[in-house]
Amino acid sequence: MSRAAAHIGRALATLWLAVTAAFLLTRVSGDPAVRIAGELATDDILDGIRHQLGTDRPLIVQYFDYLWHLIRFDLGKSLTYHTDNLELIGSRLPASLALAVGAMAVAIVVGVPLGVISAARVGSLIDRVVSVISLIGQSVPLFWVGLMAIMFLAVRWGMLPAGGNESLTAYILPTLTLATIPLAQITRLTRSSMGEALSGGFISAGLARGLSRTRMIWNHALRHTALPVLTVIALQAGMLLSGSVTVEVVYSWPGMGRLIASAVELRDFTLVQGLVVVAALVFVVANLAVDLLYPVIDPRLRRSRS
Amino acid sequence: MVDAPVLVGEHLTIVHARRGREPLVAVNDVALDVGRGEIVGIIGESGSGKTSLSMAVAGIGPLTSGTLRIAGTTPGTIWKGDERAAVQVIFQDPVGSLDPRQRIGRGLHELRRVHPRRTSWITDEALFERVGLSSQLLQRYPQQLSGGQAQRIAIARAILLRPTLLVADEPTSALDVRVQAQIIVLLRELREANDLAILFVSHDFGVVRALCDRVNVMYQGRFVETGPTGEVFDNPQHEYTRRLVAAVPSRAGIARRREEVA
Amino acid sequence: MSAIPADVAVAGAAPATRPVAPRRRDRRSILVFGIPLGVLILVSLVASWLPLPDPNRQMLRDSKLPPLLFGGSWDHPLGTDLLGRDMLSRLVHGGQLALILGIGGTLAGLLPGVTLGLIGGYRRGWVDAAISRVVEAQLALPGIMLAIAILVSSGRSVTVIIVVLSLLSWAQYARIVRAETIALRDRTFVLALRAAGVPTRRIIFRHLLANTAGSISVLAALQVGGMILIESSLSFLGLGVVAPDISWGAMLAGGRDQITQAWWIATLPGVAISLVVLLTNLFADALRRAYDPRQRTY
Repeated sequence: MSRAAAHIGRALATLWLAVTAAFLLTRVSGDPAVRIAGELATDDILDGIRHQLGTDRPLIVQYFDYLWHLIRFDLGKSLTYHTDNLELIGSRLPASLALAVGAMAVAIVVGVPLGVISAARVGSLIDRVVSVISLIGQSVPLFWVGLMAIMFLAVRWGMLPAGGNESLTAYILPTLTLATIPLAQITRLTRSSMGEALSGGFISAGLARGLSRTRMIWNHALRHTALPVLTVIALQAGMLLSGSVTVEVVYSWPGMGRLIASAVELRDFTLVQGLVVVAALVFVVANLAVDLLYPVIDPRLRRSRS
Repeated sequence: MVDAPVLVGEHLTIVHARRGREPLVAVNDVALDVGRGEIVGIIGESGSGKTSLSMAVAGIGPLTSGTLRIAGTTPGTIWKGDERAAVQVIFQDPVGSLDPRQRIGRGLHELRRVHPRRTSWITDEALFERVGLSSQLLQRYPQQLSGGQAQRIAIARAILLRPTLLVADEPTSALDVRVQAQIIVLLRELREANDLAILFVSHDFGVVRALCDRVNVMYQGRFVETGPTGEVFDNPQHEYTRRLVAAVPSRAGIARRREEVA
Repeated sequence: MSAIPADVAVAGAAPATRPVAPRRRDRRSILVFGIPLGVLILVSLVASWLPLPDPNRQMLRDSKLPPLLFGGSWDHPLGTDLLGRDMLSRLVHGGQLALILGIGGTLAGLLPGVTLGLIGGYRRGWVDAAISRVVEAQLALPGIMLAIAILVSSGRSVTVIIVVLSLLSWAQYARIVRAETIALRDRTFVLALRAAGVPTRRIIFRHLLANTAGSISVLAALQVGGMILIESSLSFLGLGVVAPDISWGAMLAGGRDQITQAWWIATLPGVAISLVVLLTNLFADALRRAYDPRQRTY
């Protein structure tokens, strides 16, 4: 029980630090009023903006005001839309989550078996092809992949819609595009940890006991890889959030990523700040969930050793 | 020879805290002394606390309570300068006791930079001669050395700093028998030539017997018996010592068993 | 965040037991990928002196010319963009920026990250706890979002971008170096150095650093690719360097609307990015196989 409490404590500390960093980095590095109004704005206009943003107050005051609002789930108001940031972000969150969950699902469902097969047939043609493809998958810019996919599949051959989220088919391309990197990583990771498991003694021991090789691979070795894969999922949560920005822009997918891109164009820095906070929260929660799940999956960790 | 004590330790206690379990008492109220030019042994099985004790005496391991006096002075929590140089250590894993990313010669150079005055008494080449090594080895990396060569280098590095006490933690356990003998001979020579005091920790009877003047038998954090080596081994008083001695295959015993099997 | 393969991120915690000399086959792979990489870096460094047309010279009557094999001419072997600017020249100059930012960003993150990792890992105690909390917080902040937030409020310039890239990468060095340092500090040779009176500063910055250099190099090589990807994403979103500096990501964004009539404007920069990042990843992989036997996946 105390381990769970320790994890939660650390998650909160991390969240606090992240939130503080978001605050500092958007403020200490230059005057947002100038960014918003432009270099040529008069002092009157700049002062007006500063007052509206609250940046004319001392930094400490701004900070505590910021924290105070955060605790009450108030992320401020968007400068362009004049609505509650939380509402705005909240309305876009489901779309981004759908994309992220879909991409992760594809990555796991395709990546794990590919990794297993590669590990089981080390050095074979399949293994090499998979290795090459996963290496490429980690080297390509996602927005370019999306653009190419749109160019061929949507425009040239008219197979799938090019953007928006009206239909279910519109879901396919963005999900697959976003899945590229986690797919590549999960494949590689599954392959290497399966490789370790397979080279260990228990495969031969199992074979000696008369179990079929396939069954050994899928049952025993697979359990061995659950932990590293889980870790990757946690690491990927942040990456998916980041990757989704460009993918959503390319496919005009109405999620948080596209929201931040337009917030950037509109210089809506309270909205940008709010999005960073929400993204950090999602990441911290995802990692916390993984930390809490570890002992459930790995019985070795359940008995609390030192 | 036992007039000027190089090391006097009283009520030495070492307790290791462990997360989620009771603290481990590794060393329990031990009194230890080593005189100038003496070779004192600590013999015990693994888990007896002998390594914890030797690390504390050398100033690189924790000491929970007790007093330690090295050549008359009591070192502070961080040992500096001459205090630090006065007690040197050699370890069980000779190759592992050298930085794998540093050539031997550079390592010696580094020691000279840390203790410039104290190390000016001898050159690298002469130092290597003393421990029976060719100065070609100065250019090598530790992985390119044999166990015996690495241990000689470790000894060389130690005596370069002119210590009054050398703590040897199982220095021969990882070496083959022939090399063991060479190291023992080298240590004896150093004792004769420089009046070097040695605290020799081991689980190996033969080696302790061959080298040590006095021996302390350690069991579960305490010294259960102590005295001149010959007496303790030939006439063990304590139950544990008797068991240890009995378990050692003696030459006579081995010869007898050979006859039985033949 | 950078596209660092997860198996390094996860398994990078424990160090190799003994340093191993690289096998001949692996040394060859390092050269096989390292040399082209070196050539690329060299070419991009001297880009300004190469006989290429001015990448920013607009010739509207030459707008949207196709590349050589698709109906173009040797005047513009890779075609021109919407404003008639030569694609080949723009790609080369964009490469210069990509490598400067990729390598610069990596180094800028490496220095603080490695230092903090070494100090935290060796000292433990509250120093380590504090550093670890900051590292975790940094890793919790979503990379691109953070970059966007900073660039929006402090303007776009090469310096700011390098600072942003260093913020995104330092924590990975800190984490890996810290884990290795923790394992190293109990090694016998470290004890021996302490016994000999070698000052802590030297133990950390000469001995521990030398023994973690292998992992650091692998990570750095991987990071270069990751930094290039991040930078191109940022330029794609309009947050990269300002004209007249040329960035592949921005070129791609510019070509997005022309995808049907002049596909090369958006396609070629993407190919360039992918090739360079692929090359650096292959190089990093070769380094890893050579210096970290534990990571060998066969």
